[in-house]
Amino acid sequence: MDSVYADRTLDDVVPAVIRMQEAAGLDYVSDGEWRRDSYVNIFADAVAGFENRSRSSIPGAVYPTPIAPLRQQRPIALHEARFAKRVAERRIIMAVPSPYTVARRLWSPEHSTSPYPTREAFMQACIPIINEELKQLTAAGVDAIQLDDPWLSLMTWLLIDPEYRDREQVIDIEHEIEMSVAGVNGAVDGVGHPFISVHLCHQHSSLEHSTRGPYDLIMGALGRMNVHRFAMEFAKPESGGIEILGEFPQDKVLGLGVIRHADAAVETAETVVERAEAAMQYVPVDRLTLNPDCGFAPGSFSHLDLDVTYRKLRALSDGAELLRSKYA
Amino acid sequence: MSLVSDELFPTLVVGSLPRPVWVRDLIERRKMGDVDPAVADRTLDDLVPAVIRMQEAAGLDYVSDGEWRRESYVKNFSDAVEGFEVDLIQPRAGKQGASYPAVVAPIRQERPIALDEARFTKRATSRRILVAVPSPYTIARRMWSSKHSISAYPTREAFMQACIPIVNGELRRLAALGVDAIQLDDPWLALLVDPAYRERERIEDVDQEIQMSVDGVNGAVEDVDHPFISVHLCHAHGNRKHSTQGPYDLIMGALGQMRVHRFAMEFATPDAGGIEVLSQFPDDKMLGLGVIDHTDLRVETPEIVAARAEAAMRYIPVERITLNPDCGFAPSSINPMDLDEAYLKLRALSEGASLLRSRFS
Repeated sequence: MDSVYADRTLDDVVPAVIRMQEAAGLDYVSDGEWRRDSYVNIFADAVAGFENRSRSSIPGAVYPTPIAPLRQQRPIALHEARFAKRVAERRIIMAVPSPYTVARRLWSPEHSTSPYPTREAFMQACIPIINEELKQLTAAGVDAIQLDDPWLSLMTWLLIDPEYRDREQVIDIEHEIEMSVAGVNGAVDGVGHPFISVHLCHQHSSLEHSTRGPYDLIMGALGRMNVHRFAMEFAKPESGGIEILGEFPQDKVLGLGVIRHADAAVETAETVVERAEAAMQYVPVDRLTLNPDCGFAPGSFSHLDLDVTYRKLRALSDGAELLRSKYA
Repeated sequence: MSLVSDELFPTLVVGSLPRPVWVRDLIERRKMGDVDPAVADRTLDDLVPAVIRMQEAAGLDYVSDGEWRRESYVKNFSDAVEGFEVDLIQPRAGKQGASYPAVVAPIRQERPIALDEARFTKRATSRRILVAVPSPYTIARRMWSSKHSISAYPTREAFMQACIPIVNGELRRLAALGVDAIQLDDPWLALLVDPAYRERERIEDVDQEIQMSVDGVNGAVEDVDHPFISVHLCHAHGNRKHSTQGPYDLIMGALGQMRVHRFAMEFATPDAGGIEVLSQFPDDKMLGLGVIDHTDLRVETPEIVAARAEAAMRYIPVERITLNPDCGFAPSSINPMDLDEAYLKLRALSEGASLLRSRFS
């Protein structure tokens, strides 16, 4: 299909998902990332140097992987952002994958060593591209910018599952965590935006999480990232308990996951309130923001129902209303 | 044939498509006065293109706006016309379903019924468009009640006579606008075929009812200069169940008396009682053959669509066959149907048509 035709079609379709979020009552809305094949492939879609190849570590699938030096061809998310800003009557949030997650997801030892001998070298090449994108999103007046870095939170799983660790060829977990921090700090360097988040999660597809485990291992890293907010999963049991928030940095805002995106049972507003109140034992109320645990479909093929999503977002805003009447 | 399509087996929707839950909420809140109708209209302007693109992506020749703006296929009449009071007619005791307005005062049209929708749809697509309006008989059966309406209109017939010029005026405007296919929805004619229904509704003279439907349709289309007017007949449905069942024999004779070009009828569902009745289908009309059973969760394959069309070809010449789902997927916005499922079914419909064209063109 002609990509211009696809773009035009999506221009006609995306307003519907923006209005849906407004009807659900959210303060910050997105374009649902409906234009993206996936939250991370969007990087490869905008940058030359990638080719779809199969990998021995991920049998049965092809992923874009760097096979030549990177050269940006078009903005990653700027067009989406401009469109969403023009359409939305609320504040907007735009997400871009973090350099570390791009590097872990897309670089492969089988195909990528000639342009980039190491994953680190590839990540260094990604940083200026993402940094420039964040500057452009800032200039476009995007209200909230987010770096998606699920691969940082996967670290806990690497400790638990040696097989996974071998497959992903992780030797030094501390070094991996440092890469993530360096990636985020490189990406936000000189951006000058007042509300930049990092999103951490355990990944999911078809209502199953890829990994689980508490955030212990990575909590120390959060304070070293030069961002304002962390949007983290806490609603689902796979993320381990809320006690870990005792280690949450004191100068950051928490994006508290209060909705289980991988569970078709719709939360009540009261459940949302309880989850927020549990977090209030650790994080002061003025540093608390509410969100679902994760995006509902970071891969466009994810089998999550839009009607269920609407009802869950509705519960999220109804819960926030209840909290405001209690604490404002 | 070239009038309605360049190819054999043109594909059409019947009209309505499932609304996402939040759109159902929006329609409900608009009705309750919780949302300004102008705001609801603007929001719907942002949504309707999505459901039009969906039908284009499914490959249909004629598309609609999914009737997303309507609370129901028939209430859009009372929404545009003064003289009704909402929710006076409740579902039968023990039955779930929507409530309907009753006529309580002489009617007076306030705004067009479907013209604004049609104008929007036409601007939003390069495909041919289909716009449906309820038929006078169905309006009269649905919204006149002996309990509430006698002071305004002593009989159902009198009320129907008052509806005819309004529907007729609307069809003229739709024709002048260049709507490619106009449809009158007259499910209440088809319901008559079920003896249990006739008993329930205390219908003693069924011939008189059939004649009312014919008069309603002929009054509605009088002097409407349009080459492609359909009547849609069905067994009505809610929550994936038909309201009535049985073959169409009783009403087949009436079809030839209606001055329209096409009848879109249910044949995919077993509740419609078999295809053999097509031997009584009038020789000078086009058939809108229902090849998708919207009440069945299983998505049809293109082969099933082709097989259903081939069964009808034993009775109807190929150049007079058009393909459509049995009915609109959600004639009432509260009908809990799934939009993704509707898309997959519409795609099977178009792919079935392609298969048939490769065999018979």
